[in-house]
Formats: sequence, C-alpha cells, structure tokens
Amino acid sequence: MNDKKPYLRYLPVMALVAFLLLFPAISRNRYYIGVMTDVGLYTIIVIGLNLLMGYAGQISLGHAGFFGIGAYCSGLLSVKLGISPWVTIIAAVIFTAGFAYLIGIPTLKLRGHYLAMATLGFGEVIFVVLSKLDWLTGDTSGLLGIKPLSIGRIQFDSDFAIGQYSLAWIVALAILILSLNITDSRVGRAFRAIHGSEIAASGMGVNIARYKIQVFVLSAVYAAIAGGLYAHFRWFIGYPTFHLKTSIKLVTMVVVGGLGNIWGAVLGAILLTWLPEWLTAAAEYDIMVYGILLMLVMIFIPDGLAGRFSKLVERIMSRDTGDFPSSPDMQVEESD
Amino acid sequence: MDLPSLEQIVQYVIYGITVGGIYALVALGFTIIYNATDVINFAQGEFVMLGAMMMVSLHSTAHIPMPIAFVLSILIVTAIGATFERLAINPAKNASVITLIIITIGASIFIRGLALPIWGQDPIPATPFSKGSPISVMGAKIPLQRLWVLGTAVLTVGAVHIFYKYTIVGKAMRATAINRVAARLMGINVRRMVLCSFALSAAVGAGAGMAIAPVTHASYSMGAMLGLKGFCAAVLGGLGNGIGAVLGGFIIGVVEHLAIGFAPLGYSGYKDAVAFIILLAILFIKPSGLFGISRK
Amino acid sequence: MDTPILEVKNLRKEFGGLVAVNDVSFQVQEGQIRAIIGPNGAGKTTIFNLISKFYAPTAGEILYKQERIDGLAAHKMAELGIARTFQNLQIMGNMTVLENVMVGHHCRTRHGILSSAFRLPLFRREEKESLDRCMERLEFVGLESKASRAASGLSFGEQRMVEFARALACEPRLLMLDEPASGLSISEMEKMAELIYRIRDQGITVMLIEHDMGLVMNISDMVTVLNYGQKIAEGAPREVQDNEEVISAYLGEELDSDNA
Repeated sequence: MNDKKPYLRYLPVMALVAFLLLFPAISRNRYYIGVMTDVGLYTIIVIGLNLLMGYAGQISLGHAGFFGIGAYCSGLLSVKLGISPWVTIIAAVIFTAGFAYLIGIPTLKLRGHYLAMATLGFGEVIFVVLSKLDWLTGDTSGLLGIKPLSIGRIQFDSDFAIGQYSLAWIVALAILILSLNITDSRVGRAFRAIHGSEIAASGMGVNIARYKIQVFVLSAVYAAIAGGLYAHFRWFIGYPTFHLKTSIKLVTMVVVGGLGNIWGAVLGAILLTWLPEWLTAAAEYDIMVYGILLMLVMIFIPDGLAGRFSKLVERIMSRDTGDFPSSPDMQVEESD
Repeated sequence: MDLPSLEQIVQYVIYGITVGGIYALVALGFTIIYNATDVINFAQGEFVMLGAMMMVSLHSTAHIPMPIAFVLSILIVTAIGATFERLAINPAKNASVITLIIITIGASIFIRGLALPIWGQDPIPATPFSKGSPISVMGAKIPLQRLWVLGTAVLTVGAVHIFYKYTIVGKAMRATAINRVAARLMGINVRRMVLCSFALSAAVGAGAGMAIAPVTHASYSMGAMLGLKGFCAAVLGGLGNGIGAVLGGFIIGVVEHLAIGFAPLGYSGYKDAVAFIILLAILFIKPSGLFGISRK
Repeated sequence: MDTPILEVKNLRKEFGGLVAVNDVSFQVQEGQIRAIIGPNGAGKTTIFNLISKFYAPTAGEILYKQERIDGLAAHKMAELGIARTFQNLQIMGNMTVLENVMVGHHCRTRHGILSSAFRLPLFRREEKESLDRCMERLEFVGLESKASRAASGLSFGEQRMVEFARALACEPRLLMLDEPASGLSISEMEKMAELIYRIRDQGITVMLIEHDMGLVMNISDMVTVLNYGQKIAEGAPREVQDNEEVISAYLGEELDSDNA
C-alpha cells in the first residue's frame, strides 16, 4: 500500500539509525553502551510481542520462556557440542519455533483470560525446567562458558562493547524493517482483522487459527533470536533472567510503548530498560514504579505512548482537511 | 526409588490439605470478583500478603492483642481492596479484557513494590494463633497452626456461603452475577456490587494471609505464587464456581504435596510446576473446569 | 441459468433444546435476487450462519454449485465465492476504510509472511492489484473519498456501505446480505437497492434477509418466508404478499399482543 511514499515510512528508521550512530560517540561509556545493547535485544522481543498482542490482539504472559529457550538452547549447543555460535543461534531459533508451534496449537484455541493464563502457565513450567537444568549445565545457577560470536578474528565478547552494540542493533533494525513490511501487507491486515472482528475476518477468508499460530511462532522466533544473541554476548546466563518478572516486563514494554504500532516496541524497550538506571537512587522503588506505570498507561493511555504520538503526527499532517486525518501514503491525494 | 511410607503419605496429604486451604481461599477470592465483573484479579495474591503483613505489624510490632489485630487487619485490607476497585478498576470499566488483566497485573506489582520498602525484603516470622505442640494424626506430626489454616479456610467458606445466601447484599451480588441487566432493573446498583466484590475478596484474602503467615513466614513476595496457584485452583474448579474453586484449591494442594513425596530424588523442586501443569491440562481438556459454569 | 447456485436440503439446527431451523429446503438460481423474510426469531440469520459455516448443521445438506460444502471450514467460503455482510456490523474499527475493504480481497491473494517481509515481486504485484480492485469497489459504493479514514469514524449508513464493498472485494458469485437496509435513511436505501441491481447485472447472485417490505417487494425475484424455523411460503413477491399463512405469521404476533 505504501510504495508511493516509502521514504515517509522509513524516515523514522533513518532517525533511529542516526541516533544509534551518535549514541556511543556521545556517551562514550562502556556501561551505557551495554545498556543500549540490552535495549536492542529487548526491542527484538518486544516487536514480536507487539505483533502478537497489538496487531493480532492475542496475549502472552510467558514470553520470557521463549527468550530462555533460545538462550539456553543456543548456549548449550555451543558449550556442549562446540558448534559455532552463529549456527547454534539458528538451531535455537528452529527449535523454539517448533516448540512454539506445538504449544501454540492448543493454546491459541483459548481466548481472553484463559489464553493469558495458559501462556503464563507455560512460562512458569519452562522457568521451572530451566531452573533445574544443572544436570545438563553442570551449574546450579545457570550455564557457564558460553563462547562469544566471532567474525574472522574479531570476537564479539563482553570487552567489545561497541561490537555487541552494533551487532544487536543491526539485527534489531533488520527485524524492525521486516516487521514494518509485514504489518503493511495482506498478512498485517489479516492480523488486525482478527483483532478487529474474528467473525468478519473468517467470513472474508482469513484462516484465523493459522494466522494466530503464525504470529505466535513469529513472536517466539524473535524472542529466540534475542535469546541466542543474549547468551553469546555473555559468558554466563542464569535462569532467573527468564522468570515471570521478565515476561511482565516485556508486556509492560509493549503496552507502555503502544500496542498496534511497531515503533511502540522500540519506545517501550528504550524507556523501560533505562528506567531502572534512572531509578538507581530509589532502587527499592523500581518495582512499584513499574506497577504504577502499567496501571496508569492502561487506564488513561491505552494506545500507549507511540499511539498518542502517531495520532499527534496525523493531526499535524492533516492540516488541509482539518477534521479528517489522512495517512500520507494514500495514492488518492486531494490537494487544495 | 524409595516410595514414601504410609505415615509420610498421610503427612503429605494433610500438609497438602492445609496449604490447599489457602489456595482455596485465594481461589474463592478470584471467583467472587470474577462473578461480579468477569475480571480476573491478578492482584488477589497481594491481598493475602497484605493480610499477613498487617497482622505482623499490628500484633508482633505494635503488640495489639491477636483477635483485635485480626479484625483490624481484615478491615484495613478490605479498605485497600475497595480503594483499588475505585481507583484502578472503575475508571477502566469499559476496557477490554486484556486491558483489565494488565491493570490488575500492574496493581499487583505496585502493591508488592509498596510492601518492599515498608516491610523490607526478608521474610518475617509471624506468631501462631495459639501455643501448643504439634498433634499427631495417623502417625504424622501436624503443627497446630496448620489446623488453624484449615479451620480458617472452612470457616471463611462457611461465612461467605451464609453471606451470599442470607444477607441482602449477598443476594444482590448473586443476582448481579447471574444477570446483570435484570439486577439493574431490580434496582441493584451494579457498580456498588462490583465494589463489594472487591472488598469481600480482599477480606477473604486477608484472612488467608493471616492464617498461613505463621506457617511460611510473611514476606512481601508471598502473594505472587499464592495468587497464581489460587488462580489455577479457580480454573480447575470452574471459573465462576465458588465450591469448585475451593475444591480445586484442596486438590492442587494435595497433588502438589504428593508430587513432592513421590518425586524421585532431586525432582522435588518441580513441585511449583504442578499447579501450572494442572492448569494447562484443564485449559486444554475442559476449560470450563471440573464443575464448570460456562458463561455467555 | 437453470442450475441452482445454492441448494439447501432439509436443513436443521438445534441449539440445546431449541430448534432454530427445522427442515428447511430451498434452491437459489444463479443470477437471482432472493429475499428471505419472516418475523423475528424465524431463523433467517441462523440459516445465513449455517451457509457461511459459523455453525454446523444438526442435519441436512448445503450444496453450492452442486457440491456439498457442509464439511468445510468457515474461511473457505470466501474463496469459493460466498461473501456476506452482517446484521450487527462487523467492521474492523481498528483499520481504515480501505484496509477493511482490502481484507475482503484476502481470499484472492496469497502472499505470506516471507513475501511481505522481503517485499518480493509476488507481494508487490498482489498488493497493487488489491489496491486497485478495492478502490474500484469503494468507488462503486461511493466512498472512495473516505478511503483513508478510520472506519470507526464513519456514519452507520457509510459503515454498511464499507461492509458491502468489503464483501464485494471477495469477488463473490453469491452475496449474502443480512438486513442491508436496517438503520438506513430512505435515500441510502434507494442507493442500496440500486447497487444490488447493478451487482446482479454483473452476474452475482444476491440473497438478502430483510424486514423492509418495500425493498423486498421492489427488488426481489423470489421470496422465501420462514416462521419458527420452518419455510411457510415461497414464490414471487406478489404471490407471497397475498399468502394467508404469511400474513397471519406477521400479523399473528400483533393480534396476540393486542389480546394479551
């Protein structure tokens, strides 16, 4: 639908790239670059979750589970079998996709509360399993000795902060662009149709069950990619990272950033990864702040921040017609 | 694999029943709110935690006599529950199911986050309701407080039952649960019923928290798991069915403890997964639960 | 044009103890405009829901182009060429008008996640085609100027038209309209009637459930009357209008309530 004015859609991407290029130059702080690397990884997961929750209208309270499976799978293959990290990430993604497909089939028949609780249940079971893997990992708190990714002689280990940062964001940007493309297509419309009216969607030929599984598996794949990268950016991964708290954090990022808008994922990931950093003085209060944020946003700004922002942009761009915002990429432009 | 002895099995079952009593009360709390509002209140577990913490503060710290502290705790947590409904639920009353779920999740995180600076991170021991040494039941040693837990559960269920059956407010709440429109036409203020349901749930939760705290210690994070498992119990029994919820709680408690007993060495840590596996099984086999009322 | 495009044989639907549709049979010829009428609760929408597979029949057969379709899934119907609108509008409020109509074109395209993610040629081709076709449909119903508006912001009558355009985007051979005129003003209704004629001229069979007798009598070729889940009359509009059973079915309700 947008081939007429692609630059308008990719403009924010350019802005993001510019910001990402400037950030390390301005900040020059290894630690902060590390935080932004984490933002990149979370962005990947949250984009997937946004497709699932915002576009297709489903819910997952257990997405940390896919993140964990991706991380552990990739890490274990590399530690136990010495396989190249790049390959282990691909293998982990395939495994997670298969797993998501299997649990997706029965789970996505459920709706509303039941769906939320089933995903939560799966997340919990996965967490318990991951926490008891010491017979495999050799360590009660997680997995040690994960090798870093490397290209030629360059190793993307924890000393190479800028390297990890670049890698994380190159992947994140690729996924961002691909996801923007998906949403603006028949597939994206099918997702949103399911959210808008399942009855009509199915009456118009949308195979609801199939698309729900597709978006679920896709979101799991994104989480697994992030998990694989996460594992190889570190020497050690611990199972507490994949607790329900992380799943809730991910949902908060989607919600605060804005459901139904891919940029919301980026926004949410940035805001909520930095939040604990800004609150370091009041470390005890950060849980409370998460909770309040979640409540306030859902009560007063259900569109999330990106939703509000894009409405604002639409209003600015529709100065000529006044009351009706028109999206800039319509081929029927009525200029007055 | 060593199978547990008969004595051990009895102990597991009885422990399971007592813990199950707490799950039952949490599940009952979920059901009360769900029946009035179609909302799953993820903050239910936090009412339990608040009850426990209040008791600790009032009795252990402020030395208020236990019966008075008990009543005061219930009143305070009930007030908190009502405030929560007014501030977080009522403003969003027309929102979608997912929005409401996320709001209650946010609330539960918030309440937990509030409890952390107030009571600190470490678990606090709570005074048992009565002094006395453990009694022997079929060879198993059962601490007295666990019997108190069971007793509290039974009494609370009874009290709620009487409330619903014989009081005007209770009957009004039942009517609202059965048919909201008809209830409104009969002059029942539905929004007030919603408020009542939150208040009642909070009270039930608080009672449960005070009973279990001496057994497990009171801590700011105790609500999380209890809430989740209570939810599993409510779904097992059939969302919306109070008796089912209570039975579901006991079943999960017992199965969980038997799992500890029969699990091969080293696998007892999986006990936490039991409730969720039961949940998933029910959701996939018969989502309406054991005694399901299918709504809509 | 003698082969029925749709045939319903001994169709029965029970909901628990309630029999909503009781042994209903009829045929719809290709290119016909067929009205299904009857008092409230007669089972009209249930029959539509059975044909579009939202419910499975308790008994009976449904044949489309002489082949049984009762075993197929709901989303297959659009592909086969059966499209419908809904009594209570099922507009996707979260999308624009054009996007709503393009959902209708879903069954005529096939590119998937990979194609759209990487903007492959298949995607580009199909997307352009969809865009053009759907804009044509919007022009057909006169809403092309509102294409990029949020669908939820339109008036009720306009939303009906959007649903109409969306159903047309399916490129159906059989179009089922569930109370298309309800809630419309006189002029909107006239426009709707005209559109239905034009659709029929394109060779599309139209079935409509309608309460507005004016519309029914004016545009239908044939009318099927239902009451309490059973077919009580069928024929040309004039015949049916004069049928005693039909009259008492409709008036019977009023007389009873007068005596009550």
